[in-house]
Amino acid sequence: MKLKNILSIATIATLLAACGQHLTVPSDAKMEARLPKIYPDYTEVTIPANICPMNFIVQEGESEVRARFTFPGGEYIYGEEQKILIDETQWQEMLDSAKGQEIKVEVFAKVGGTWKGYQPFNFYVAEDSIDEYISYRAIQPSYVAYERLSINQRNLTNFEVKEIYNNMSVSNEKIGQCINCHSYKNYKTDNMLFHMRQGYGGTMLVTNGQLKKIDLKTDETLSAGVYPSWHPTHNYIAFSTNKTGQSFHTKDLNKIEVQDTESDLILYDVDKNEVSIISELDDELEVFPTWSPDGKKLYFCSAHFEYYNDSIEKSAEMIQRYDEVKYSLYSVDFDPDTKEFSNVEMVYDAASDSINQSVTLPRVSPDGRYILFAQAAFGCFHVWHADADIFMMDLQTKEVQKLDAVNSDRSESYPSWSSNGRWIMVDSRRDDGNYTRPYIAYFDKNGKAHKPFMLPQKDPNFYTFYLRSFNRPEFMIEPVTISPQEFATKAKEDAIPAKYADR
Amino acid sequence: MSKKNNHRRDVSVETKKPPLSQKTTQESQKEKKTINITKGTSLCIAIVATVMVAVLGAYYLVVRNSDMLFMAQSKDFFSSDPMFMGECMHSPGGFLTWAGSFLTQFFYHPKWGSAIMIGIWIISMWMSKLVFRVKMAWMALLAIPVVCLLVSTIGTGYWLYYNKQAGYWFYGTIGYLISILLVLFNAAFRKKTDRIITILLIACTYPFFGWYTLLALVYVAMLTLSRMKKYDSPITKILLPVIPLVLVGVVPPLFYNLYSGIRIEDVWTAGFPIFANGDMISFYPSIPFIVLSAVPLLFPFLPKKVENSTGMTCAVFLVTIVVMVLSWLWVEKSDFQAYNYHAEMRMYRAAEEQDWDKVLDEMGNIPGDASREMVVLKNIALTNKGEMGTKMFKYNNMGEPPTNGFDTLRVHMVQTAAPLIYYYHGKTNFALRWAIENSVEFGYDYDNLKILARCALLSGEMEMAKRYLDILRTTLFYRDWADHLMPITKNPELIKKYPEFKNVRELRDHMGTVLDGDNGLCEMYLITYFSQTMNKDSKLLQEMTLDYSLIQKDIQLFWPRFYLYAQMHQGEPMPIHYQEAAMLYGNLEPESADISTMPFQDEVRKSYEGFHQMSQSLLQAGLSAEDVGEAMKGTYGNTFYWFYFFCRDVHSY
Repeated sequence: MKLKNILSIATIATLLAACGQHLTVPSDAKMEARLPKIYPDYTEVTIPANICPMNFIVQEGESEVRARFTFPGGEYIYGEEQKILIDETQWQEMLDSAKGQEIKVEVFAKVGGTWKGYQPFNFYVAEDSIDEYISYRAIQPSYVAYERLSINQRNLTNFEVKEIYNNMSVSNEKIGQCINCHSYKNYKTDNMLFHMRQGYGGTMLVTNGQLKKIDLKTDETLSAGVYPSWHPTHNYIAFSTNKTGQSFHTKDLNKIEVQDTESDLILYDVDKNEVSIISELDDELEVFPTWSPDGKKLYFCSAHFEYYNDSIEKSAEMIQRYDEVKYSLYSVDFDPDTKEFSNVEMVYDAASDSINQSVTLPRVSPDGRYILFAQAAFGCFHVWHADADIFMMDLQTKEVQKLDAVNSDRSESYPSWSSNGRWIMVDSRRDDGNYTRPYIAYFDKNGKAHKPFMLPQKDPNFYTFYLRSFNRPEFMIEPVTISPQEFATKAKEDAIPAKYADR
Repeated sequence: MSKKNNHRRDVSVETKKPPLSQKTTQESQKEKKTINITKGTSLCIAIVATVMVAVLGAYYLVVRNSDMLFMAQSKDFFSSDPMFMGECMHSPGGFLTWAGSFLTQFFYHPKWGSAIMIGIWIISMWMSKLVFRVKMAWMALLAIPVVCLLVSTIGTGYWLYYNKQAGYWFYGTIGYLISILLVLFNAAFRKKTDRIITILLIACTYPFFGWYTLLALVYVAMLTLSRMKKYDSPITKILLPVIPLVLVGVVPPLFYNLYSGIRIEDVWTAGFPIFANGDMISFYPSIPFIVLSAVPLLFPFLPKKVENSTGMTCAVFLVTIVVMVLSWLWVEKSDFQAYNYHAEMRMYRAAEEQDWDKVLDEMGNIPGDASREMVVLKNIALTNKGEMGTKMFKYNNMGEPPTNGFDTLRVHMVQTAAPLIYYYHGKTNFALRWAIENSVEFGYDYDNLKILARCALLSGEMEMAKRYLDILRTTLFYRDWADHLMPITKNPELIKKYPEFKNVRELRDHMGTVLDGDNGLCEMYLITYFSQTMNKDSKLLQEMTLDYSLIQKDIQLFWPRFYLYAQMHQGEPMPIHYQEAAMLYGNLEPESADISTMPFQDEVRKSYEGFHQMSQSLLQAGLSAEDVGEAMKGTYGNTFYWFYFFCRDVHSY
């Protein structure tokens, strides 16, 4: 009886509190002829029809804020201290109603006891939806040490985040493990992989839902597989193999250089567990393989670099000449049935005297028309290069354009396409120069990229306190269903050594 | 107490069998009789044991370890932001991490933190007395677990820098109290079904309390065993103690699937501190936690009747005295009182606060050789006071690598102080690097966040600086510090008005950039870098390059920097150590420079001649180089000559 009373009182109190939460916008607000300062900057962005609520902070005033969302079906008002936290059901209603149209947002803030209103802005709701999931490696801005690393998957239609794998599930003080380069075949997770280095090292490979642990290092190759790309139609994976080093700028704001002293390309035949060489030219640093959607071309980057100082180690010479390394974009034809590569072609001579730049991380659009890449003055690790921007080549016209709408004055790297080709995602350090965050931009049917928006979070203050980078954000159309514990169990097993096959 | 028992019996009169916790009238009356007799003595013992805990705690925490406690909190982190709570809950025992970090921040004022800690210990003692129904006469035994907690606090040595358990300093203290409270929760119920339900509920607290939930389950089993009665059914006798023990084995793996960041083999020890670094695992600092966990297992079985016999009285006094003496001896032995360990912390704090006089006072008071970190901090203080040229060799520049003594932990300066050291050398990228590296390994802490904020402000990365300052603004004791610097993020020009940045800014602004690396050896890197740098634009940086060429003991590097110094300081007196170096090098390698026309002070000429003569005569007398150095230390230990010849075999780390 007592409990019943308590529950009744609690229910009434909740209802009263809910009634008290009915918000209005001030009618006497003094209007400012400018957009409000909000974080993240979501003003005038185009958003997918299935994205989670675009919560934000109003960086105006000190105490109270309001935001009125007007959509074809009505309006909603929000405001909680400085935050605009949108109800998920109402947001879905807004998206459904405004598909192909816009949601108008009017922001009001109490500044020094007076309400001010700001120029309204719109969320343009695209007809196109976005892949439901992305995955990324959560990592502190990398130097040498590593401790807790995880590959996470985030549902873009809500705020759910789950760990795919966490290295601490197998690591301890004696056995540290680094994880990297998660990758999926055709945006699906029944064929996927990621690498583990150091303790329990190997490549975790899921093929047709079956989990295996493979050792891709052979006596004939430089290293185990590093940067991967799944062949879209056959059971092959192209990898780069790299000898990588790291050094530190004493003052430059780029802070770190990561360089390959050597790198080649290999092909891994999943069914046969065989590794073969694609390219291992002496004075070429080949890296970042990526398949065309039909699987008949492999794009990759390569830098021509000749070591000429025999008195010092290659790594030392590379440190001295780090800014001379410039990668251009190439392609090579591939016959999936015979596994034969032929006809290497220069696609974009970025390293030429006239351009004098370095391109990395190419990704072909799902329709095969465009190729995105990151470009900066030199090197292969553009996440640490503030001048790095996203460029796009139209593979029909060979015209290259800088995606101004997507870029900032800080590093942009790791571009990727959604499975329908209507959304591109880039890793950007525009926020503060140190922590990479995923930005998503609409890519319309005319080949135009729109203003990107930062991955929304339930608490818009999330990014202030989250001292990790979102590394290698990748789209997925479904979640990874193998549990972190299953990965951990497999990780502790011995890796199956891959065989080397002469070509 | 006996009245209370009688009352209990009255209210549960409907049960045919007396409940576990109930006593028969005869038992109760007998107990009443004996307890009344020994009550005064027992109370005295309980008070003495409590006072012992308070006194030991106050003395060893506040009087002897305030500097360490301040450092401990600066290497921890607590934020009021809900995301921090979420982060803590990523591992079993997450609540203890959160609460431990919350309370650790009070060591910012070591007296406050200590008072809270001692308060919790005393509460734990008395709660365990209540839970296990221990007579006051045995109160000294109840103090053993809290003595363990004291030992675990003051006996970590250099593990302070290498401990990865966030909130460690209060983790055990709160954990032990929680485990006692969980047992109390179980003991508060009499019905078998209630007790089983409470056992299950206790097991469900594993995500919050980890190891201490498991301890509570074991204690419940022991308590239940101790209260078994002859007339209890066999099922009761077996089931009640067995259920919690089975849960200890079963619950952690059941919860394993909630956590993706813990090894299956570690789920039973989640929250138990492991002191490991690389391949080295130290058992010694874990001993207090083993004793802490084991000793309460005996509490339920302590005699419930303390008869008023001479033998028993003697036994009680003996136990009390032995426990107190052994406790004190253990605490005294465990208290890590290596002079340099504490002095280094005091110097670090003073350097962090730019109290250069205090840094130098500490350095001047060191009884033996300093650690290398102390030598570097001393040099930073002298540089900031503009006294390197006149005083750098007036202090003991010998430096030894720090050791724990009780294990083989290898301490590295990059982990203990490199971010601050690099920062004061204007090498903000390297300061930032090591602040991040250490945060990756040991978790973000106030100290590193402050370095990160400062570096970002200096390099003009205002959004980054604001992020770090925003985080510090959510803390209890660093909010003011963050508020003080926040205006710079809105107006970068303001940094010029902050005196604390003046020298660092000058060094940084005049330094070039190269692609480089320190290979984990901070001091060696600085010596190499600065001794090989030439700079004509900044007097501060130029003098630093000269100072480091002296430390490098490199004649070829010295002369160009010496001449440049003379050019840049025309009309100013030449500092004595630079004169000493010129005098020595000019005599050692006359071809390297002509010193005949240099206007040396008489004092320098005399000291060099005296040094030369004395060293020659001692060597001719057959003394070894080492003995010569020792013999000359009193007279010439404050000269560059002595440093050059006898300050050797210095191991940077």
